[in-house]
Amino acid sequence: MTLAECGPLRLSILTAIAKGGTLRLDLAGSGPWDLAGLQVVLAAVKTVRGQNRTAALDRVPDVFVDLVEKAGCKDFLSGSIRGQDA
Amino acid sequence: MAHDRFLSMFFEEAQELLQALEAGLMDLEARQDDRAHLDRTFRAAHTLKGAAGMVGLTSIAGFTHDVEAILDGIRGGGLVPGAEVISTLLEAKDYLNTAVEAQARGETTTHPARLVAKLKSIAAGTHGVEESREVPRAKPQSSAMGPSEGGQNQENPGVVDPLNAVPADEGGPAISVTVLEVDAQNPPADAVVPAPLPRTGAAADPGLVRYRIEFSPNPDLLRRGVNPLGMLDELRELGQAEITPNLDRMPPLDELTPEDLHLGWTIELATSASRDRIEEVFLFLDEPGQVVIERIETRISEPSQPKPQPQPGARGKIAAPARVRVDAEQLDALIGMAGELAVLTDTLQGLHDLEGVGPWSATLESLERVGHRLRDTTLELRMVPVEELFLRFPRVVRDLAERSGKKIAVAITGEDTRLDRTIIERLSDPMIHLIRNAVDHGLETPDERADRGKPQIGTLTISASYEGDRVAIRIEDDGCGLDRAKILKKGIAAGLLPPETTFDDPRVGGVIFEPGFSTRDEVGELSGRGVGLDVVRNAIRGLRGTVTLRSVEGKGTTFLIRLPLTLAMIDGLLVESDGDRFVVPMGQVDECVAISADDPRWSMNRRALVVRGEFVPLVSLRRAMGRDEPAPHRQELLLTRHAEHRVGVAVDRLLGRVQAVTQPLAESLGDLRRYSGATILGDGSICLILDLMTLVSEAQARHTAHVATA
Repeated sequence: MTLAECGPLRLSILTAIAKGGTLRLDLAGSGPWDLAGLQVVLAAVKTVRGQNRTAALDRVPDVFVDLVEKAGCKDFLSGSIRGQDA
Repeated sequence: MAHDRFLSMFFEEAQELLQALEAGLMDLEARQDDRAHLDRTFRAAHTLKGAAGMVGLTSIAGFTHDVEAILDGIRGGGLVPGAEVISTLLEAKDYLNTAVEAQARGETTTHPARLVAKLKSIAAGTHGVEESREVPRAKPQSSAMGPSEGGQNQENPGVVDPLNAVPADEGGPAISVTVLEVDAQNPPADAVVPAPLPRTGAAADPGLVRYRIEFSPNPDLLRRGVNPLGMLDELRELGQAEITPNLDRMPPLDELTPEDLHLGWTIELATSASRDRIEEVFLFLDEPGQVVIERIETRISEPSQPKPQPQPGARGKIAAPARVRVDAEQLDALIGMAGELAVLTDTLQGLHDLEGVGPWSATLESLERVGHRLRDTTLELRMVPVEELFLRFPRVVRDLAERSGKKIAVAITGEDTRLDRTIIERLSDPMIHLIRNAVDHGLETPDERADRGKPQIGTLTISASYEGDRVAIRIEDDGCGLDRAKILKKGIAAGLLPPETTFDDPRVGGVIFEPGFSTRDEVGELSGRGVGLDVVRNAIRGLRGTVTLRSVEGKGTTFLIRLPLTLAMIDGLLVESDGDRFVVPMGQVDECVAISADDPRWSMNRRALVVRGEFVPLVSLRRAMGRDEPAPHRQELLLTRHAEHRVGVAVDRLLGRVQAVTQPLAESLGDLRRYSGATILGDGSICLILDLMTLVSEAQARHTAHVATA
């Protein structure tokens, strides 16, 4: 999920948020990722937590984990990362 | 797309940075005490690495990192730039050249494993290179720590001059980094100085300084193709970095503009690097990207002072001149239009003779003046210093000298002499030919020089200067000079000189420019195949120049190249043949001879003329243009040189001299090799510029084909 795809990514997550409940994002097989894509995920998690809801990131690929660490966002997202992609 | 544009910009900039890197490396051994030189050389690698990272060329950035690390070690005093280190760095620079060019073509390269390993071992200090004689070897660094950084006060490593900002003209783009000095005791009202972080093991090292960096990049950073994560990585390399994202300005997802950057970071950095070095990390924020660097737990005795503006005539650094990149084709188009305008304004001068023009007379004069100034100024834009050509040669000489076991010092003068950029581009190969010639044939080995009472190190001087309306370039060596007797013997044996030619005959020196001539008995790696100097001569003639030599046996040889200042404008002869007008470059015409049909000098059924005892074959321009009408009784013969023989090109009339701004011919016009361009004459008509060399070659080819089929 890069600068080119972050627009559609944002819209699909907004749709998921609108459904209520726990926001669950299955990231299996996703990539490549860049800071623009990570930013969308960060905004999504922040939005959901602000509504006292839970965000869960499932089957997170290594490339996403690396990006999170580079951006210093590991602490922020650690509570939401539920599993890494094998 | 924006990213493609940034990539194009990177490829342009990378070439300049690699040239600067090579120039810096060539002088590294001699200038290892010159801090400014070390910084410039380091900055070329650092800027290249950063720029590559910014446009996503992480492979090139990664390779350059190792080069940068070595240069950082050299300027920090932890590494001595001996011959092996420099050779390795030059090899790395060559590879980077190849990698960048490959990327520009859309291809990738694989880093040479041997070279990568050698760079890493040199950077780590584990390669068998010379140790620093004065500074202890740099300690092996952990992955969290960057290499030790020079630039700090060696007596008080914790003290850094707060006003020690990077000068804008020291290579690379100017940085715009706001550095605010915060008094930890009395912070400004809007500053937050949190409690000091607990010291970890590394941070407790008294040699380390702790900084807090507030990094709040502009929202458009992502759209501009700048990757701030690369800067965070670089900070990690400088020391122990704790990076915390600032998510305060992150809007809710429904308000998020995905293409904008909504993140900032707070970085706690424990490092031995100087503030300069930290600021360099943010070199690519050419907008005020708001980086606040605060030294933690430090008393700052002076508030921040604005940098004093340089006064006119003040001593110190001179601001670099502003430069603008211009597309070469657009520049040529502008020059063409300026030339047309000059011609049109010349045409308008005829209005002075009309009645009633009085009120407009001054305007016409101004128009003429401005038109000519515009033409001359735009022509001046094509002129570039020969320095960008000459800077390639020290490296060439170094490599040639290594291979031949010779010691050679290169001296360059007159590098700010300016020449048409097209000439500069086409001069590189012939000059390298001549330099190879000087190294292979001219300069002796150290032992040979010692036997002759000469210094063991030979000297090769490359110089440029103005001589009237021409530029003179000299390649001068203090080697053995030409062996005239050997040249005479070989020239006669090859049939290039008559058997009765004497030692002092002026033709003896010139015979070395003949195709296939060589005095070498064996073909060496560098030269000796006899395909060098005639190629050089033809290349320089193609630039409307001349090449001659002067040599003293035992003392040295000088090659002298004379060139016009520009190819964009030529001095020409306006000629007419069967009603058609052409411009012939004066540089291609040795002399003009008037002939009539009953001239006794005619020979071979008027296919040749005897001029001062020399048999000169003729080419009729009429016939070359496919005109069958007989030539007029009187004609003019333009004598030119073709493959060292004089040839005459017959035209009907000479109409005078012109100064012509040349315009290229469109490729869609087809095969028009006999014309080197076109120009617009004073009467507004378009006139083709003849290339006499091609015209004669075509005539020869037709004659040969005719003889073959007869």
